[in-house]
Amino acid sequence: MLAKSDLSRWLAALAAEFRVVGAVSDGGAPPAWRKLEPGDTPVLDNLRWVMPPKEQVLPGYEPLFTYCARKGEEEITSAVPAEEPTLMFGLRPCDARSFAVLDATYLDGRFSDPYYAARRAQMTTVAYVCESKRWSCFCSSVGDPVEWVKACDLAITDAGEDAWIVTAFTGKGEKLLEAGGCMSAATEAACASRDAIWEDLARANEHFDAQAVARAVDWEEPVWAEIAGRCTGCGICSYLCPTCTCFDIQDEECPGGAIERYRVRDSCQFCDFTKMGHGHNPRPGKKERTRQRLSHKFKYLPERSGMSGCVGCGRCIHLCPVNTDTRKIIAEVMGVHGQ
Amino acid sequence: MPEENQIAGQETVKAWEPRILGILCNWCSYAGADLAGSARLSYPANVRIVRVPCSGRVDPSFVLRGFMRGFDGVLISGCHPGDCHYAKGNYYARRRLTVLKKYLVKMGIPEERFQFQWVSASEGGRWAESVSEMTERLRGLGPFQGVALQDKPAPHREAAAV
Amino acid sequence: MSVQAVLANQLAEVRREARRVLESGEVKTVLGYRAGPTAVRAMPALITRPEDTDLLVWSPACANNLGLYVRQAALEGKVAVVAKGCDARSIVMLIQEQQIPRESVYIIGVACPGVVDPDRLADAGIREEKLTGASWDGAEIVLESPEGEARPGRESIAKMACLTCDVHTPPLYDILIGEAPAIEPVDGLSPIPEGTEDRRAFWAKQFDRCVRCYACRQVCPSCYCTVCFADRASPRIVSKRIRGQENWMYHTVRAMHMAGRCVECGECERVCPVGIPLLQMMRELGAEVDELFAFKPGMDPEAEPVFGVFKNEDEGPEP
Repeated sequence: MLAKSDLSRWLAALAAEFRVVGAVSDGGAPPAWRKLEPGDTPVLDNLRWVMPPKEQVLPGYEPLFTYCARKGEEEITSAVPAEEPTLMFGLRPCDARSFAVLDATYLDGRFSDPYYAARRAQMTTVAYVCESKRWSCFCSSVGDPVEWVKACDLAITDAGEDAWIVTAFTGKGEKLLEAGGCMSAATEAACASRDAIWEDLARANEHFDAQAVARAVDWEEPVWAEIAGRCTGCGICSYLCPTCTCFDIQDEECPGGAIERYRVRDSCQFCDFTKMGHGHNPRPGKKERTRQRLSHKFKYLPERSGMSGCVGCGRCIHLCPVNTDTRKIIAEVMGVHGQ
Repeated sequence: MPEENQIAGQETVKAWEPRILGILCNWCSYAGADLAGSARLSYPANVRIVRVPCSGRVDPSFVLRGFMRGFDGVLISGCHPGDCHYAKGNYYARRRLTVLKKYLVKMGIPEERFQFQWVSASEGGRWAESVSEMTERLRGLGPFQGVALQDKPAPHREAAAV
Repeated sequence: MSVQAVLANQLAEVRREARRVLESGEVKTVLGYRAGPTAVRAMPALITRPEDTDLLVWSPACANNLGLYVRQAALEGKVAVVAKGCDARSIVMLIQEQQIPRESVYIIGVACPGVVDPDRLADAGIREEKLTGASWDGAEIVLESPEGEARPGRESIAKMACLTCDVHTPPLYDILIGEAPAIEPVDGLSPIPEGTEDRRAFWAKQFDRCVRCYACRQVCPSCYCTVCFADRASPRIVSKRIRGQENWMYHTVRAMHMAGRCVECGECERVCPVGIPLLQMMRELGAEVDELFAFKPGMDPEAEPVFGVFKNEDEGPEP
């Protein structure tokens, strides 16, 4: 158990061994994941939404390499980052799970992405288990969030009486308990509180089985055109989705004559995402693009990797400028074609 | 004339000199600047000139890019109202650039850093004077701190050559 | 009559009018609002069948600017729009810029005291899923829940644009439903600091957060270019790097494209996922344009776009 007042002491002890990353709000902005500085308090309540942690392994802008040619000599400088032991502190179950989904794309056997791999390699995960769900949350509809918590190294759950109960799942996690000598033995009441919260977390009103949804998603769903009618074509759903990973690669001149190849976040919702050099665009309208995103998330990824592409965080729902609700779309898809 | 280190990635270690982006219309101001040259009028070499057909061609993005890239000042010069080679271009420029100037102040770029003026083909002296004045003003103001957070310097300060 | 009943009457009128113009064939499409996932979120609705007009809603949940859809919808035929003041200003702006003829829209004007911004509700500690409805009592926004009615105060829960709005009655309409109470715009809510250097630092910090999702651009009815400058590869006007300085340039160039064209509906600020105060920036720019040229876009369909014309006596540098 950890008294909440001891949190900063524990974090300071952890910082001796890790680059500790938490979600911090700078000046009222939505909390974003960054390295914790002394005095920072990571957001550890589910009343506020946080930016997706994918930024830590897939930064929005990432130099890949620079190329320089001087007097016939060529120099290529790789920008693969050095591995660094990183501790993601306070991942909600949905966000904790998102790394597994990202791994399915970026650490896929033959095609491991060295930039992603370097950032992901020495990552330790500490989950924060939400006491309650926000209106847009649906993690338990797309999977078992308690299992997602148990896939982390450590989890902190509210134990009442201004304390956290801290549960380790791996050897790495056990070691974290020792840092700073801040932990005390867990009381029975604390364990009961944790069990109640975990049980609540797993409860869901409706369950969307990944493979059933995958089978139900159809090319000709009328819902695609319906959404397209109001979709603004911005990138919010995909940019703020913890499991969306598309990127663009650009080569640009740097001052001084070097050329930098970099990668930036991109969205399949942008009108020119699939536009080709000769002008043809196989996804010319919002209907095609809406269909693509939801099919990728709920059909192609589950079929290919066995896991749901969606972790039910709800960001796409509460941030969508036109209030399109992903859950309603799945329900409609299931209603039309599913059981 | 400040030396420029042409090797990428190496910062010149020299006393700071204001860098001014000059955008001059071909028919009046550019000719005026040329006249300053042929008349051997001396003025600071801190301005880098870009020639456009008309001040009306100046897109606000040119100015904004200049500040993004780390120029300390931007100076736009065109034909006097009534004398535009294309009859009306500078009138449109006047509206647009007046608004841009006020917008820049709202965004934290003081007036002194963005000037626009009318210089005719015969006003070589006026051109030289305006560059001198602006350079002096900018020396007083100091380097432009950039449009991004301080720990991420403007691209041109990452390497010497612009 | 309760405030809910007053609103219900207005809604009935909206539906009646929408149904009438569809049934008569006067219009092909009705742009309005339909219920969204919570009582304070509505969705834009494009209705082509008279029976679907029963889906229409009208309440403080109706935050979207429907002017966004008008230009495209008008290509299919005449379109009726349920228009608040800001929506109507966008429609007038489109007419001013000759994007649509006046005859292509039938404006069902609705007097609007101000809509809710759900993010501000959350900041005020109100859980929107517990709400069952929202209505107006004069200028005040009334929230309904099983516990009863609550009036948390317009200043803390309304969309920011509504607090400085002066078009609670739409500037152009074919029919007007409801009557707007007199509402004083609220000043002093902008987070932008005074002082030039403070402003430079402020905007550097704001744009460092920008993720270039382009939601600000996509929800803006004034941003209707088929290819945006930010998407051009040749020439590359602004880099695609998602980084403070390039983000700054994207926003400032867009702001200059919007100068004299922005109707200050505040959608950009509402939808920004990282909370950049874009509306406040555009209001400052709008005030400068108004001061220089006595022009506010989206008010008079006959007026000419401010940068498409000039006067000999325009303010400018010394001759």
